[in-house]
Amino acid sequence: MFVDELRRTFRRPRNLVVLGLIALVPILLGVVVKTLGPRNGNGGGPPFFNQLTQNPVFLSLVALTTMETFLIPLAVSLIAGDSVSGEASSGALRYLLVAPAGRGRLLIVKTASALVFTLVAVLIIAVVGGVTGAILFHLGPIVTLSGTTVSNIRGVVLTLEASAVVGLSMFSIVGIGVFVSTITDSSAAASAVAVAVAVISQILGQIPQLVHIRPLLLSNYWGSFIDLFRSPQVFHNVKLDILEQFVWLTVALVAAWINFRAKDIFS
Amino acid sequence: MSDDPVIEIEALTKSFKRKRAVDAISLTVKQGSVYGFLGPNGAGKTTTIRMLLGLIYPDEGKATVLGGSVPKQLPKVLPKIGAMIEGPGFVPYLSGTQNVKRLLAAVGVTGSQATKLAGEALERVGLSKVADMNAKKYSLGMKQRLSLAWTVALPRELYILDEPTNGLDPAGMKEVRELVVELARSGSTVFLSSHLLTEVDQVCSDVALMSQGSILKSGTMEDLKKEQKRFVEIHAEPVLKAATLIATWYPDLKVLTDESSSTIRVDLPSSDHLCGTINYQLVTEGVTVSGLRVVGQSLEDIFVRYIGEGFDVR
Repeated sequence: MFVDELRRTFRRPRNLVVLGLIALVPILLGVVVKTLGPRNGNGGGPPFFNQLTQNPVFLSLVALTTMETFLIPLAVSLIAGDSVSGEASSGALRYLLVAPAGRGRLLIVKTASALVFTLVAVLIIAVVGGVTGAILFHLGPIVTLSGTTVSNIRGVVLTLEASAVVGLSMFSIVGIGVFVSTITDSSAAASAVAVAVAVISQILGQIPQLVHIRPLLLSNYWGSFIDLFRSPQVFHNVKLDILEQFVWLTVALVAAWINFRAKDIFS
Repeated sequence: MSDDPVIEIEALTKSFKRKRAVDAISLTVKQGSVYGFLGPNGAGKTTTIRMLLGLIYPDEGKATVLGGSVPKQLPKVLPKIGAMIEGPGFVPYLSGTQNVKRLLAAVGVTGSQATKLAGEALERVGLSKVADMNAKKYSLGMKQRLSLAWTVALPRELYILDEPTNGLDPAGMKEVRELVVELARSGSTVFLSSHLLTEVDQVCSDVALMSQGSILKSGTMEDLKKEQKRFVEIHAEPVLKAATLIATWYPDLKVLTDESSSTIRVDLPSSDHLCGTINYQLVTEGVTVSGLRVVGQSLEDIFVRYIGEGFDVR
């Protein structure tokens, strides 16, 4: 059932459009920088932005950094929010449950497939960024945040590690999306709530008075993947991020199960 | 046919916001029967069916399906049931075949076995030609058939069909009736919910009538038909004279007269001879009898008697 669900997720036209659109962002970034030149702005920009033209991996990293706050959560929310409610709104849920797919099994399969989609989506961004960078820019030295230089192969490995961390950072959003989609039959509403939670979490993270609850916010350690580009690598925040994500995912799934386990299905 | 009950419901109750959708109903469905579950729209039929399938949890009461308590033993019970629940449910961007295969995958049937079963099921419901078309392009009747295809894709001990002919044209309805008979012939029990009396009349061996959350009547179709009243319809001239004569001769019988169509309706007791006798007597008295026929009350009349007006009948 999982394989079938996965196949369906990656064949669904809507999901393919989402993947296509997020893949466009690194291309757009690359083309803009190539066309206008890297130094034509007012400076600043996200981490690695100034190195963007030096090596293809930097385009991947800039894309991940800029998309992690909204576009990736949005893409993930669209899929996670649709997981149960999409089946309910089309009337397929009752047929799946009576088949019987099993309520617990269905929830696990749906969540697992949304998690895989998330990891693949992030990987696509990294790969498209790398390929676009390779086409548009040259293969220069990869200088880490600590000022050391690493080989191209090491750079690629680090970028893949970074995309895995970004993917894992979205697991909380997947959990919330799945949870809300067990509450409503509207996948749009469920997706909107999941993406709103991501945005609100980041807003709360900016409020100084809330400094003590910051570690609980699901977005608190987003961006921690840049610590992988230090020499030596710093894993402290990455570990906390992953821990945070799994705690949020678990809590959301437990809530989803409690709600879905004996829910009356009218759809 | 064994007498082991396939479905046994005792005092099953479900309320939604203080309104009792299903009010302490009890019924028994015998193995091998085609059980007609009749009632107007909103009677509580679908809620009952959803409770039998574990989609809705009852507030009170007990339901046992194929020997397993519902909803506690659903994982044991559901694999033995093929169910079509309140209209079509499908993934719009998948083809007919893919939709059936998807549900088969949910129960662990995959690969060539799934392709074969899906093909056979779609052929059985007449969707072979559009099997590879996206389901969202299907007409309402085709969508209904698609759900039916999944329901019969695997051999099951019990088939629960909730309004299976909704959206179908008369030919489609006939095909579904034939399918129901075919399923029953293979030894399965069929629980058929419908608001269409003709549908139930033609295929069911047992019947329950539900209205406003309660079972008003249940039993075999044979028993129910014994309740059918008969009457004789007489076309006579002059109609008033004929009616007066009949009323004088048979003061115990109810006589209704419709002057505009020159028709008299006389309730008929069990004796058939009365019909001929009335004819003879009327002619002897100089009344012209242009028509005379015995009419049996329809199933529809019986049900209207139980539940009153407002029943969606055809």
